[in-house]
Amino acid sequence: MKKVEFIDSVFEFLRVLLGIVIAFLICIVVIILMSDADAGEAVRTFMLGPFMTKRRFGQVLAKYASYMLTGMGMCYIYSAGRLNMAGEGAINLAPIPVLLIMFGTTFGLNVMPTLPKIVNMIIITGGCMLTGAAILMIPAFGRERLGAHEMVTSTIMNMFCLYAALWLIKGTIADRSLSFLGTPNYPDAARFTRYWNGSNFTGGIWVAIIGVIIGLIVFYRTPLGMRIRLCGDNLQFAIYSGINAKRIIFIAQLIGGLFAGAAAAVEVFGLYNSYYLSLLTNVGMDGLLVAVMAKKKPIFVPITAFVMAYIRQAAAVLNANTNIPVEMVTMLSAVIILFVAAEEFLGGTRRKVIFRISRRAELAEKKGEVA
Amino acid sequence: MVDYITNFIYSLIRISTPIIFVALCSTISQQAGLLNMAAEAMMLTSALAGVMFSAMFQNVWLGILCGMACSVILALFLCFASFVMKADLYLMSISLNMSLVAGTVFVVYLVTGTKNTTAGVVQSLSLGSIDIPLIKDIPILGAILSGHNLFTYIALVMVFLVWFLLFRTKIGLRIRASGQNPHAVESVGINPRKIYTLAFVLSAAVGSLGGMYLSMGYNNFFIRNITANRGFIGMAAATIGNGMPVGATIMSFVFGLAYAITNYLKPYIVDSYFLSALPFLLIIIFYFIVSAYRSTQEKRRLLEAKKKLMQAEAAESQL
Repeated sequence: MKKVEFIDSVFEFLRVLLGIVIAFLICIVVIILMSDADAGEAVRTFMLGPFMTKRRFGQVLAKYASYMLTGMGMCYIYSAGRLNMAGEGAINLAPIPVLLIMFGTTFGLNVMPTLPKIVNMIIITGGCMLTGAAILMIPAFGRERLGAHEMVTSTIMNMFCLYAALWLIKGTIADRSLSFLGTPNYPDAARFTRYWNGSNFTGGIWVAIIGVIIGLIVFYRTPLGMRIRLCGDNLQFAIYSGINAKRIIFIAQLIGGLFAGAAAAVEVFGLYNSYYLSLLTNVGMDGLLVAVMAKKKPIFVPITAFVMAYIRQAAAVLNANTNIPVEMVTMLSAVIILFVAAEEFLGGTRRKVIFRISRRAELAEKKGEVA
Repeated sequence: MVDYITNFIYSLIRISTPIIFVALCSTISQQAGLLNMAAEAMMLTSALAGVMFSAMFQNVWLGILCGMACSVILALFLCFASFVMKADLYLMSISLNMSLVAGTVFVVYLVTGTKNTTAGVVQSLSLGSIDIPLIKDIPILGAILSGHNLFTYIALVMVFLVWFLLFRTKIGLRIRASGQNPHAVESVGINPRKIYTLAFVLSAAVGSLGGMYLSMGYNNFFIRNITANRGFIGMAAATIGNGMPVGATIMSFVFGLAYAITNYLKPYIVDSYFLSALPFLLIIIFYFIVSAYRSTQEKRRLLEAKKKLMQAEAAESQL
């Protein structure tokens, strides 16, 4: 039986890999078709662009941090059997209370810049996490208590959160001297340190690493993680084995919200100098992609998050250096999802291989009996 | 004052039209027991395809037909991915939404060289507005009901058509049955997956009209992210309307009202972001109230049924 399980996991891995490779090949074909003059250069830019300078690689690592966090959060939500997508909205709205404290109160204006950086970071990340969790609780509450579909509420919530964030900022702490809507620049003590000479690689990576470690331990090594997985795999079984399924699903979404909030902190207080209109680009949804690519298994999130960050950065580099728009790569995310999530992709071959192996094992057993 | 009110109602109908189409589109799939999360993608596809093909053929109706066909192809792809390849339907829908928001921009970029709009470059056609002969002479009613875009009237007819399809035809019965109990449908020899696919194709055809209203009726060009999340709002309308075409239409008007009020208040209230957030907030609150009402209703019904069963059992044991 061990052999069958092994082959199963090999095929799972193969599917993810093939999905990414196929999407990559399509990308390259499109690039070659589109760049009339120097196709080789364009492909090289796409493949190696993110690694060519320290600055670009810093950008990859910055995205990596936030994708790891959102991906981990989505893994929790998704493996509890819910598709609560308010993470996108949470990333928009979660930094706002912290910003209000930072620029709107005497504590924020006078005390925070003098505090040691680590304390500030804990305040910021903690505040964002709490707000993020609160935001994800709304669709969860609607689903578990009222029976409102969480997908519907969370997609509508996302739009609400975007405008609500801008509204809250505009009325209170917006910097009037700017020509666009945004907050003043963060004080130096209240943002993640930029490493590598001011690149986007920031101290947020530590938050991500700690978050991933805690997430992995809770998911694989605690009763709570076990219960969450059980609720997602077989809800009826979970209920009959005495688990309070509603509570567990609530908690799973709460954890997802905490991670989304942490990602918001890393993103907003790391990559940018101030919070402004249309600053955030789809991190929440990309987190869902990361979780899907990882097959709901948080252990793979660090890998898939890196792939995602690399692909996004490659697209951005391509956008800046050639005539190929960044949208082309986003467009192909559906292809990746199709191959990764499709259970029947390579399904026939897998069944054949497993059949052959079990047949052989059966024969061997029979021979043993005869002997 | 009267002018103001008639103008307001007129614009309410105009704003609600795309939402009605999407709500109907979601209604069909909801009756089949599945949420149509990909409505946004279907609308975007058809909006762009309608513009492109009408410009290519210089014929509005051919353009609309092609737009509809593109939307249906997308629905078929979605069904292939989720029912044949066994990918998660909602996941696939979400990723389709993401990729088509980008994909339409990509196509616009390929055709025009800019990423924003086809206006001025692609000579697309649009459906005009129509005056209804008798009604347009009635003082207030005429100003409200007449002179709308042809798509608006199609939307109102579509409400009836969808109702007829769902509740008065064999296909409709099968769609509803697959939504309520796929196993029962399977046991009488109907493949529910085929019915789901059919429902999605039909809903894509209806939803595509909503997309094309935006790019060929409301405007006569395609702009980036033209649907502005109307797909999700229509889905919410269908969900609150409990999968009933008329209920969904009424809810579309309610959401249209929220938009119209937002539009009309803009000159008076400076805080435009609050106004933009308001419709979504209203939708969420409304949805929660309706779901709460529905779940208590459901609980009461279950309780009553239980009571009746107990009474019957008690009567039996006495005998």
